Amino acid sequence: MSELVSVKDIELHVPAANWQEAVRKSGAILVHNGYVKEEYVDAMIHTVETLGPYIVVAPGLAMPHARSSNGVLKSGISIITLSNPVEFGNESNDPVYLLIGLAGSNDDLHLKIVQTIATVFEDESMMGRIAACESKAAIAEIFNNVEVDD
Amino acid sequence: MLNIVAICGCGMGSSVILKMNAEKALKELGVPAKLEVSDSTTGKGAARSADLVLIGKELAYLVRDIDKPIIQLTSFVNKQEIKDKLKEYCEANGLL
Repeated sequence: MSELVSVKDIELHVPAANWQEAVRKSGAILVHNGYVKEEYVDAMIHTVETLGPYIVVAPGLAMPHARSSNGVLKSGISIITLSNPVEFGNESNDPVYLLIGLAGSNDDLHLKIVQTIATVFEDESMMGRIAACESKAAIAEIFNNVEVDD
Repeated sequence: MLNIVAICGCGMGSSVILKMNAEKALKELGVPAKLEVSDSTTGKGAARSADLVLIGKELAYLVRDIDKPIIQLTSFVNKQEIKDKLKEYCEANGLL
């Protein structure tokens, strides 16, 4: 079976001056790897602009995404750690230093990806471990080794 | 059977995590429930026909005029937070 996350989905210590730039960089990986069309990245920004910073789903962690109808080609994920944290305006969970960009195509793979993310971050120490990780392969391994129960 | 709807912006990300974690928590509590996800466009309608609404604190404004019990979560991945809040709801409503 192919792996859920590969090193090409991951970038470490990415510079970003603000949340918009951080979201664009997480989206650029989704575009580059063929998960979404370019317009999807604008939609990721638009989601936050219209609905608010709810995509900061846990302390330090943002999960930027848009709808599948906004240009998803296939389900996939991008993971970036920031060289400097950014503020999204989320009272409870700012500042953000890890972004997991989601491209969801309403299929089993998307469900599996979201289940995996939820399972990884059940362990509160994971945020710190991933943020401090100096190896893309090690981060991919964390996600690929998770056992999802249903 | 408790009918619960988990709502987020697109119905793709955080609501799916909420649904999963709530399902696990309710199973552990022994409360039978049916969970669905919804998004910012269909959320209000779904909330009206549910017994209970789960939503992130930052999106709670979407359902502020809905006359249903609403549980607001600050962290979507914190299973303890969701379990504590569901337990409180179930106890207050005679389900436990």
